[in-house]
Amino acid sequence: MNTLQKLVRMPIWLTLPAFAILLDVFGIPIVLLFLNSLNAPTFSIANYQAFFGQAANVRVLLQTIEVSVVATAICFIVGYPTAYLITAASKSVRTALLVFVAILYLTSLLVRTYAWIVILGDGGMVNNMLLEFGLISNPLPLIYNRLAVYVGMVHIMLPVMILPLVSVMLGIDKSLMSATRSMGARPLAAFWRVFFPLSLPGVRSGSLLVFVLCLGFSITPAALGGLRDAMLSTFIASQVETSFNVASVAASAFILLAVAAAMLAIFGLDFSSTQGRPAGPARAYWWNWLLSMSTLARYLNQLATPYRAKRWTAKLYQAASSGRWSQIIGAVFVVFVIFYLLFPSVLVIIMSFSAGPSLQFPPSGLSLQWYRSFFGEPSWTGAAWTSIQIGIAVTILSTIVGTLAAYGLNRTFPRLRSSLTMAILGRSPCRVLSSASRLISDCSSLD
Amino acid sequence: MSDALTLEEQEGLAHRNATRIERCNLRNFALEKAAQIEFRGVTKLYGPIAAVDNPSLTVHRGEFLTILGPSGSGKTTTLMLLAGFVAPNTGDILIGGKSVAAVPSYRRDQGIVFQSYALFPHLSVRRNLEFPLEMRGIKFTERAKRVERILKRVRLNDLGDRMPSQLSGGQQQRVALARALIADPPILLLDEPLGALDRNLREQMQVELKGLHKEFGITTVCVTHDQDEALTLSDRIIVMREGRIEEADAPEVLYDRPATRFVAKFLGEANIIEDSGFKIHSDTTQPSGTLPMLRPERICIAAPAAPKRADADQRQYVTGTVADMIYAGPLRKYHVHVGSSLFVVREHVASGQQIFRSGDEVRLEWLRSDVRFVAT
Repeated sequence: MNTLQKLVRMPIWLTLPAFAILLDVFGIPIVLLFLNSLNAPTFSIANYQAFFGQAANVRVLLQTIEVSVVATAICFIVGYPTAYLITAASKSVRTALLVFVAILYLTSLLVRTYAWIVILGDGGMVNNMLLEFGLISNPLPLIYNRLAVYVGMVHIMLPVMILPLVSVMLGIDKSLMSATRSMGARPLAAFWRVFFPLSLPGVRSGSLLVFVLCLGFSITPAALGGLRDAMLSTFIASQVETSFNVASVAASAFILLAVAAAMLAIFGLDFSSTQGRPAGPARAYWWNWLLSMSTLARYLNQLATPYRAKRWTAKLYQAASSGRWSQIIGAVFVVFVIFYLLFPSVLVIIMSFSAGPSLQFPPSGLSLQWYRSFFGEPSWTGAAWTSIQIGIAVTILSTIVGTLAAYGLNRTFPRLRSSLTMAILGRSPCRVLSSASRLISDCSSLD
Repeated sequence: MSDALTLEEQEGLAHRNATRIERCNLRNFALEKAAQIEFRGVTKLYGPIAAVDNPSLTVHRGEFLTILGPSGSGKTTTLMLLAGFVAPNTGDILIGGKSVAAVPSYRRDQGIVFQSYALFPHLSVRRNLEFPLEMRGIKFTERAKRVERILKRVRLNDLGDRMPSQLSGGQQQRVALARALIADPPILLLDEPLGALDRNLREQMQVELKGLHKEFGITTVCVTHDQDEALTLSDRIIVMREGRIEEADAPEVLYDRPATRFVAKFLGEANIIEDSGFKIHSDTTQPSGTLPMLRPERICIAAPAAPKRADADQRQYVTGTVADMIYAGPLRKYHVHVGSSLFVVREHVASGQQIFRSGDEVRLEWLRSDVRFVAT
């Protein structure tokens, strides 16, 4: 009892188990690997020099950054309007859409990548359909190029962009938007002047997460890209397989880590909503300050003033159109995005009932053969059972350790609350789900 | 209601209304901009329920009108209709003679103070205040001048460069008011403007708000559930019930002579005597379909044997038993059983007063002219 009270009074100790696990799983191996990359105990930067000495390495590194930046940009361009429309939707529609996005978030990355091979491949769905209708005579080169990499990566990363955006957008006080309109701001002006600046923390978190995760991508670019689209992690993976020079592999891994760390350090991660937090003057809004206070913005603003004055008097007390068209366009956009997100997963489910011997869409016939073979094969069911057991054990452990850590951190640094809640709520229950679904779908898509 | 008024009182009331309108008209130049607001057959349906059900509502130029009502009475929807955030299903709203039913909020000239103040958290006080001016295309130099003027007016001279989160509740409230008034709009809408402030600050802000209204002479519609606020601030109060107007009148009239039981109960406390086993005497005859009503502060409480006053012939006396006594600072509130009904009596605390405890026998008395009749 006494020790318990002490623990509650000193909540930082509650984070100890979590940190111990993190240290054991990540911390120590990383330190060892880092020492290795420096050729400890002699300590030299020879491995790093060797990395930058080879033009191919540098090209792959730059390519990795380029692909990540482009993928992040596409995620933002598609994800921001989607998040906005999800936020603006009625409560039931919003919940449904968020469930769709979250389901996708929990589905296996491997499955979704292979689904794209089935869709875009030379004998894939799109080419088959186009050939069928006689629109093309030869299959289009849809796969094994940069475009296919972007299609696959954006598909996988979009939920990572949308979820933080929606979380921040939902935190924006609705009365602020009403107030903006009541002061004479047209919908577009209201968006740019108030909504967008307030959603920037979400943009920052989402973009950072997407960018950093993209840096580490290996499977998707390897599966969908051509030979020239290798990412650094693909490179590292193949190096691990082919050579035993751990030190040079470690060096490339740390260069990648350094890029990610640099991005995180520059922009910083911040999940917590901007609302209701006593922010210092302009500190949390420095980018916005840059946006609105830059001389260019002020100059443009000055230029717009007479135009605004004219429009204000001309439009005062004039009726407006109902805005039905923008609603329709918005709905169509969201449907497209959700289709893009969900279709590959749906495809995998349909294919699992295929009668054919290979990955094919549409399937040549329907049968339960893959499920029969799954449940008939003891090695499969055994593996599934082991996965579920591990999943449950990890769920229990991570829930206990995570809750303790969250309580401790929350008491110590209240600002971390929202991010930790999100992390704990979002991750622990999904273990079982994701491992089970991964197993089932991996087996069913086997040929 | 007019049944309960003598001819003299009616005249006095008419005179007072006339002087009030005159006072409004004389206020100042700003009144020229102040607009009249008119509802014509306006209904707003949410599903099958009419949130606003054709209230006949006219707000005069320069008037301070408060819409009072319980939650779900349609008062907030009325304000949303006025602000242009929702469009009516039928009917039309006229502001300054112009039909605005289909006009979106951003094409209306208005100032709104929200319950949460809705200050932009990412902009400084100065830029918050500038916002409505900027949207109206007012030039930078003029904007700066106006911001300085209004900052001085709401006594926030030095706080222009602060962020809203660095201000106290009262200061935020003043910035919100200043932002609503800075563009000199013809109407001002207030949504529970003082709801988020603590009691002392609220009283201070009531005075401030009244001063600003007087100075700007702007047509103001305020929605609140706080009766004190309504009674203190308004030229006229509208009590809403189920989307309709239950009663509308000057605060004194509405409180002193409510026409219906609903208004009597909603605005302050009321003793409505249904069936007490004794007759309530009044100077006027009781109209059919009404019940006698007495405000708690009109009733005096005394020991049964206490000497009667000189005007005893104009009073009614009853005896009862004290159920309980609640002490509330300057006031003492008694619940007294008289026959089968429970009377609420409010007494100002004064020295030399006899204090009664529960179970004590007491005598209640009131002037017969203080008895009102309210429709059930």
